[in-house]
Amino acid sequence: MNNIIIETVDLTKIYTMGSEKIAAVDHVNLTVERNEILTIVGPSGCGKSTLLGLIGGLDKPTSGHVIFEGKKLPSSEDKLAFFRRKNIGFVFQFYNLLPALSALDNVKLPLKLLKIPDKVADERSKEILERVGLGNRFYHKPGELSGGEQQRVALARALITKPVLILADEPTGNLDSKSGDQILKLIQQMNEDYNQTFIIATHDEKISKIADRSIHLLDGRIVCSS
Amino acid sequence: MWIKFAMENLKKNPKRIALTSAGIFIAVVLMTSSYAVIYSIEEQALEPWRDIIGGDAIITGGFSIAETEEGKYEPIYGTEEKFISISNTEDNSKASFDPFLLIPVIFFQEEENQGSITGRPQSSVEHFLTNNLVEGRLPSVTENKELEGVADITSSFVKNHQIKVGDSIKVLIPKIIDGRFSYEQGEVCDIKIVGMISWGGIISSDSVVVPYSHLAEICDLEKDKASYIAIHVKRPEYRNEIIEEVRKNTKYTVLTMDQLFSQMSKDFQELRSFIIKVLSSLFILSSLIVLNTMLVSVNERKREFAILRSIGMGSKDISEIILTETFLIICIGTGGGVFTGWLFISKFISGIWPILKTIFYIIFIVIVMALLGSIYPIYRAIKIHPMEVLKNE
Repeated sequence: MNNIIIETVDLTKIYTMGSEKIAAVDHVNLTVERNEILTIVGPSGCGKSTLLGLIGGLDKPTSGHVIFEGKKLPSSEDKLAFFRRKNIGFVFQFYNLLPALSALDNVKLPLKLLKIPDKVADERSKEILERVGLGNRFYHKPGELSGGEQQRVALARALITKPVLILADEPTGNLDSKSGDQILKLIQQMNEDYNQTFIIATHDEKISKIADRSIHLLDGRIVCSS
Repeated sequence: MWIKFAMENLKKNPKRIALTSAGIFIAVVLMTSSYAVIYSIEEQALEPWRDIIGGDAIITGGFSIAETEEGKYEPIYGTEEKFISISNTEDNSKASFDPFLLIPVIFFQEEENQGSITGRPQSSVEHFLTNNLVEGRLPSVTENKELEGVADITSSFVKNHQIKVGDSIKVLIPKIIDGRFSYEQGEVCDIKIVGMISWGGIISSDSVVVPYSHLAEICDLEKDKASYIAIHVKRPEYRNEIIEEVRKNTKYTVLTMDQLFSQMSKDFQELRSFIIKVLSSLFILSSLIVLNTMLVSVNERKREFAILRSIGMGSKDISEIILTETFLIICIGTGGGVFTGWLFISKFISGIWPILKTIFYIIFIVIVMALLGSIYPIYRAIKIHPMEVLKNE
């Protein structure tokens, strides 16, 4: 089995702002191996989030392409949505939970999209929430949870379908140091327990420490890899 | 789950939802009321026609026929329209002729009940007997007046007992007590059959029932001054045959019941057309209200849809969410609207009643309204670019 899970080939994303064209991601060639924790670091606006979006199929490249497990990402929006549903878990800096739903329902959502029966979805969601230390917060809505707790719910939502690839955009960027540490610990545990691949865009040096590899982006280009 | 999700979302903007539902509520009240009013008025106007001519009819440029003072049946013209009803029903209370069953009337000699068919004058009896004579002689044309009574028996009786003119049979002659026939106190008499006619009709105050085989004869009485002929067909399997027969035997245009009603409904066309315009405007207005509410809701929840897209929600699921929300909003307004509309019309306008059919129309309208009000918001939600929305957060 090929050990490469993600490969980007000359991946480029150009935004047009008025008459100016800005390359947010500029001919990026990158390979990520299965079970790897890769961090993408760089200053604000260097294209970290855009690169994550392109890898996860949230955005379409201007040129180049992304290969996931040996296949090019599909081009239609619905096929991309299905691809994300099956293979990708997203964790965002601002958690991006649905405020109308409880922690449990937020976590259950990806399972519902996969048509998992409600009872099974319920059990699995509770299990993973307990795993991230929120066993007593099932029925709390996001507004009733702290930032750290919300990010743990977001992590649980990203992991619930056991996707092979987790894309995290500044997962600790909005958290205090203690909560940030908890999230990092969880990421490490999940990576070890479920052999999941993590690509994390971050400013946080602590994250880089737990990573197998880091790449540095500047003006949309990879300037060094370590 | 989407219902729960939709409910939670609706709770976020209770005022907006309440106003939208109120708009739909008012529209549905007006729709229900106006529909029921126009339908009921039309029904009320058509009902007497249905009573007279039953479930089906033909109408020709026919004529009226009535019993004159002299006891004769003659065509009449003028203020009151009367009907010749041609029927194959077996229900004697309305009309008793079965065109496929020969019901002979036998004449017999008997003192009482002289010269009458259910109390009709001799002249009218003569009229029918003359026209329907199959065999034998008529009581009124006999020289020695020996034949003074009539009785009707079924054709099956005649057939089973092989009865023919000249036979003597026993019949139970009922006694008339307080204007009603009493067979219990009746008397068995020996009678001699002197004639038979093909007859199975009854005569009521405003109609005459005749076999259609004699229609041509009756029509010939007054070709030019006809008004209506109505056919009451209770056994639909004979309907086409009867109509065909009438077409063959008369020179009049044959119309179906639907055609008849559509002619009558012309008077309602103007009113109906006005009501339809009002209903269409209300329908468009309601759809626009729904469209506006859902569009605002989608715009406000761009981030939410972007998140749902990012976790892999497809267009179908997004459409389901928006449709569920739209249906919930519409159902609140519609449920209350239909109920209040019905309550309003039945309480305040007498003689108008809510019709079950209205409910189906309203449900249909609601579904169309929800679909129309959702299409564009769904399109907008599907077109949300998750990356752009989440990046701008």
